[in-house]
Amino acid sequence: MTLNVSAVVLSHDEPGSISRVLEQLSKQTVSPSRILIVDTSKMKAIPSGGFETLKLDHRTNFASAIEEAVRHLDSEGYLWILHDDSAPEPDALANLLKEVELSPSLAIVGTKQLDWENSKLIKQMGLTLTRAGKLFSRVRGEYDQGQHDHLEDVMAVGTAGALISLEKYRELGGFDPKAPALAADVDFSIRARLSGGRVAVAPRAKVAHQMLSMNGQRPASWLLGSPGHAVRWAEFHLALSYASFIGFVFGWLLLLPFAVLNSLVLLVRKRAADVPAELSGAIFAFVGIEKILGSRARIKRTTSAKLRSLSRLRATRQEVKNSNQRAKDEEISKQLLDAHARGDNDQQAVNPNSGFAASGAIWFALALVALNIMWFPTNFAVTGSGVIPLSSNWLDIFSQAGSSTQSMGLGFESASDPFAWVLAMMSAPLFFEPSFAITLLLYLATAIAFTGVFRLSALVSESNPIRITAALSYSLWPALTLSISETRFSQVLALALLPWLVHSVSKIAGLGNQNAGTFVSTWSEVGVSAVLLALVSASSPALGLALVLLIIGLALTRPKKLMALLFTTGLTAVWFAPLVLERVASSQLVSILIDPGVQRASNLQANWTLPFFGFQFDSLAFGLFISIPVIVLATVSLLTPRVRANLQLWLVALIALALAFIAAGISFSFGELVQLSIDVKGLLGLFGLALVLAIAQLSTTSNGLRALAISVIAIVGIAPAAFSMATNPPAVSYSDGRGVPSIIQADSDAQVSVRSLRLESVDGDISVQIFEGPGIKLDQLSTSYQISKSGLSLDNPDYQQLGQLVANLVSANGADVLTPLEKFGIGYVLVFPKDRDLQMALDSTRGLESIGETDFGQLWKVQSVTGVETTSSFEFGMAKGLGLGVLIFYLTLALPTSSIRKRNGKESSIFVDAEENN
Amino acid sequence: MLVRIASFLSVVAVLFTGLIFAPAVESKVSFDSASGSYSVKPADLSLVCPGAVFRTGGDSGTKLSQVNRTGKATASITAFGAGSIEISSVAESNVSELELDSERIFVSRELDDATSLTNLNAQEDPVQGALSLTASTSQLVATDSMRGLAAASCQLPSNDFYIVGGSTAAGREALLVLTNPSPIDATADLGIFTDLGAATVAGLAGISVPAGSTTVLSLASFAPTVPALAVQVQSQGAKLAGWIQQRAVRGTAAQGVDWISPNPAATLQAVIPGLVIRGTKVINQVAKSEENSDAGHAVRVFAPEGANVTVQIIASDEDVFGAVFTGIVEPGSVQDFPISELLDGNYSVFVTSDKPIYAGVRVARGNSGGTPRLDFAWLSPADELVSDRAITVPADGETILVLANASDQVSLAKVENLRTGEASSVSVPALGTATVVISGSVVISQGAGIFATAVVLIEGQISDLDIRDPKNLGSQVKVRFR
Repeated sequence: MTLNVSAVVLSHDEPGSISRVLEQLSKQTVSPSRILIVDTSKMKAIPSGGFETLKLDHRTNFASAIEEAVRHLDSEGYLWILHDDSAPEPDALANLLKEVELSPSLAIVGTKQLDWENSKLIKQMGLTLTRAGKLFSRVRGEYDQGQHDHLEDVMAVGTAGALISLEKYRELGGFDPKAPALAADVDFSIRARLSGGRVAVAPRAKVAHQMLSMNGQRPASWLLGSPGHAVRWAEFHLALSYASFIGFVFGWLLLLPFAVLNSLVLLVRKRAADVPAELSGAIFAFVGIEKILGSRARIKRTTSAKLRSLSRLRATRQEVKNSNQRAKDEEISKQLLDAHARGDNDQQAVNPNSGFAASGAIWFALALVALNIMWFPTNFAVTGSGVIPLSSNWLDIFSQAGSSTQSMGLGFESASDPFAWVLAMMSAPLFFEPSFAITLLLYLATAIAFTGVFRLSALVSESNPIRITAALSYSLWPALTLSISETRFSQVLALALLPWLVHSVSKIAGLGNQNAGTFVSTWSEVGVSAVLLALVSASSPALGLALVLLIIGLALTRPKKLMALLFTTGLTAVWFAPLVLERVASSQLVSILIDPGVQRASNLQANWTLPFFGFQFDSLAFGLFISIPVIVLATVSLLTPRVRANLQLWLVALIALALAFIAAGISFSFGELVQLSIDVKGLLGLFGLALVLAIAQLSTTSNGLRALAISVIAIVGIAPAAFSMATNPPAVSYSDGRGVPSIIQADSDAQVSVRSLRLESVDGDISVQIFEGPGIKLDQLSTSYQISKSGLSLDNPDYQQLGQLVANLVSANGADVLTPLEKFGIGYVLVFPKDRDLQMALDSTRGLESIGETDFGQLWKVQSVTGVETTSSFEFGMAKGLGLGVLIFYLTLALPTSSIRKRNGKESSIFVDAEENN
Repeated sequence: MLVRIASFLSVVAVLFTGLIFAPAVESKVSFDSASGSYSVKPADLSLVCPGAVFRTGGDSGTKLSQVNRTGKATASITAFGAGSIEISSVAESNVSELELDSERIFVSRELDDATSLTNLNAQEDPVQGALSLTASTSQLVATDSMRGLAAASCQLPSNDFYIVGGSTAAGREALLVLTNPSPIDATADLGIFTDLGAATVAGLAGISVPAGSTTVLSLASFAPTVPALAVQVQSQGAKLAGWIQQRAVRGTAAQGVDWISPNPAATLQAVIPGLVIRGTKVINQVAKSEENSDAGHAVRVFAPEGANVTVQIIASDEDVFGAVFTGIVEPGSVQDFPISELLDGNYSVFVTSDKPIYAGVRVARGNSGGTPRLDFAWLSPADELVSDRAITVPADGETILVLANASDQVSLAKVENLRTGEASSVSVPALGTATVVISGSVVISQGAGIFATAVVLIEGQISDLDIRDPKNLGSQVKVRFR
């Protein structure tokens, strides 16, 4: 039987490959009756090999081009479609025709698509959909050993080399011009199937396919985006086109949320590169509803059968799983080979003793712990001028994080400090005794900082002695030691975590002695960085602001890492958002920089002494000397060969110092007595960190200079600082965490809600603090209260009444105080420190029973106030939910996973699906 | 290498020029103070009168644990303003109330017990003080064991006060009388200071003074045979009114009784007007014997921190010189400076010191009627008359208002009788003293540097009345919210 076959070659600006296509076409053992080149090229000189050519506008899409060709040919029989990147083997058409002769019900017959360069490698043999609606190729990247050489029905075939019955073509109305480029062939095959035709692959009909579209080698206008985008768009389009009406409506409405959710899943699975395609594909499909409706109408016109009737042709779970495993193996093998080619492992071979233990650094970390012996905690909770215990119940601490209700004063509505998240996170591992986490962190801060810098310094130096010297210099840097001696927990935490954060960000950006984009998963580091940046920023907002600016600056200089680096600021943004919005609304944005936790004035001045920490010649003076040799040697390091890296470090140092200089001049005044300033020790810590890393560059100098540098720092800097650290007794006390007299604590333990007033006479005025239950805890402190309470005290009638109550109490004028005491539920009055005038006034007040002296001041009980039993309430608002959700997301992202499925574009193309396994 | 040197120089230049020449950023973000100023209504003005004097030992005088009041004291009260005056016996529920309207009231009452006078529902205008309520009591006692005139101004209770005066030497009895007029219990801690310093004995702390009661303590039980006493009383709980009732017996003859009232705050210059000397001959006669060596006049100084003091006694008669002497008071001790060889007359005592002191003056009155007898009065330092002060004095006998001028300019004091409106002006010389006889209720106009005390002389006995300005301060209390 002789069948009429018209070959159509689609040409689109690929003069190189079309020549091979035409050459192969002319070698066919069975020649087509007509050969038509449909040229949609922009360029004019496309080879035609002497065949008939139909020139179309370059914007003509695939479906329209074929339709024009069919109309032009006006013939019967079969249409053989070839692309300008698909060259058929000489017997390709003969084998295709053999199949349709044997089986006339075949509407479409596809070819075995081989690699363009390697004819032994199968690229594709038919297409199908997974159960999640993703495009899937059953055979991919396998060597052709005849293992697939039997005719097999498939759901769809690619159009490259496909033989299509013109009768069926006309019956179906041709390809869908509304469908996205990569959906048109699958859609056509499915419609052919649903209208009773068969679709199969003729394994002996082979076509070498260059897959220019899928490899991104065609102009972006061809697919209207990247191949990944085109695939997702096609998948969304197909899913919505073949869905039931209800499925279509809900699917379209939920398309964007689904894409966002799926993007988050992709991020967690370290497949961030797939996120843009996911989102853009969904957006194109969402916006292109008119195209989808057109496709649905076309489908309805041609068939009434449903896609589910083809479910047996879908890919099975096992097939998808196997495909994924194969992709993963290929990826790992490729990365290992690449790493080996780059010599990643050479460094380890050269410097086998660079580890924390092997280098001996661990002994220095332990020595730092030993140096803190005077800080050895003798009880769970530490109390100092800058720190107070946490709530004893971890859930109370957690409830404060992201909360919009503050318990300070008489309670008020305001966003909580992001620091509440830090406290909740840090104390979570010791939830049974949360305050102990604070105590331990203060005790171990220097060792934590040392370990961080030691790791970080590996990026700039291979010399262990100089790495240890740099790490010691930072861990004894006055920013940290001063913060510890002042028990500024928030600053201590920020400074201890800072080197870890810088290390993580450097990994993402590929800074220092490392191989960018190596086996290390960038997205794991993004998770780590995001969490650390949020912790540091929440602890020291001024330092956080500087770091965010630096990260953004770094991202702009590294476009390839732009998204990853910007993504590290996500958690910080979410945690700070409620507070920022609130402060912007009240035109108090700069107050974001107020340090959280216990408020304490900072005494560093914005002058030349700032980098030397003011040179306060007190007991800490020895500890400040370290700043001199570090600054001098860091300057000297500019003379070493790595001048570029050193300049970058100095740039960071100078930015940090400049910001510290500016921040030190900003003060917040809360009336005539309370003056707060920004604690710039965090910024000075960043300044110091950059300098010690610059010093680590001295490893590149001569042995003599290096030894001299180490000696100078050790003798002039580290030794006095260590001596100062070891000999300065801490002004802290350790307790069981109780902050109120036992009788109040007992009420609190019994869930009896009672408030207490704490009075203090200050310069003739009365300072009053009202608190509930077991006293003010670190997690309850709020900068919002600090800046809101003036308004509250002036405007809120309750505060007015409270103020009058206090005035009457301390005046002992016989005015009725019991009614307001009962109204506010104030069961106790504390006077601290001891004050005889206040004592006499309270003693002579009816209804107050003197309990006597306690560790927390003189105590009176209001006899008529007994308190009411309370049940703990737990607020879970949007800010908390979002903050927690994003935290969990980043923590999940930070977790190292073995399933590294980052695919490069060439290998991945379409057709690999990971979601099926979930 | 050139690049390195250039980098080095650039960084050093930026670092140093930046640190040295960069202008300091001064940016202050101000928030309102979280504080408010609250008006505090003053507590109702309440004065406590000591009531009748105490007799120890019962009728026989031998029952040591018995302390009873004897006789009745006469209270003179004058008040003006709004609301009412509640007159309440501290120990008994005996309450009466006098309405105040536009007219000043003058009342006299016989008192058995300590009595509180409270101005209820007073308006803030006129402000509290002696013009709105003042009272005094006097009692002439003439029993075998007690003889003399005991008068005292009614007192504003306090949490902390010093009483300088009294003795527990042989034949002398000093009773500390503490009255708690409030419905709240009080606990008193005592500090007893003698010529040898602070007495360290058990039982000084935690003395209970229950609500609405008077507690009487014999100071001899804490500091026996001490010739010079000063007592500090600190109370927790309610405020207390306190006096020392001092009684002297010489041989078998009662030789005087008086209420000793609290000192004002410690000062570097104590001005004590009221050294009204009468019967010097009898005094000298009695004081001859060794056991009566303390019968004469004396200045007593208590210096918590020690002091070098100068005592200047100035007579109202410019022709009489008076006396001047100096002395040293050891820290925490009480020192008596006897005054002898002064003629009968009216004097004021100026005690200046380099350290804050408390002071008092014992003034004796010789009565030559029959057996030579003495009475005495303990004077406390006066307040400077920075405001007009009212005082009401007993109707009997003679009351001499002694005015002292501590300034270096002549000062004019106006004394006006509140009932009759009769007024007189007294010129008080610079660093001098002057007197005027008063009766009934008078108001003494304020005057710079003027101090005044009223000395009551009845039937040859002597006592004194402090001229204070009792008030509870209404104020503005600044409350800061933390």
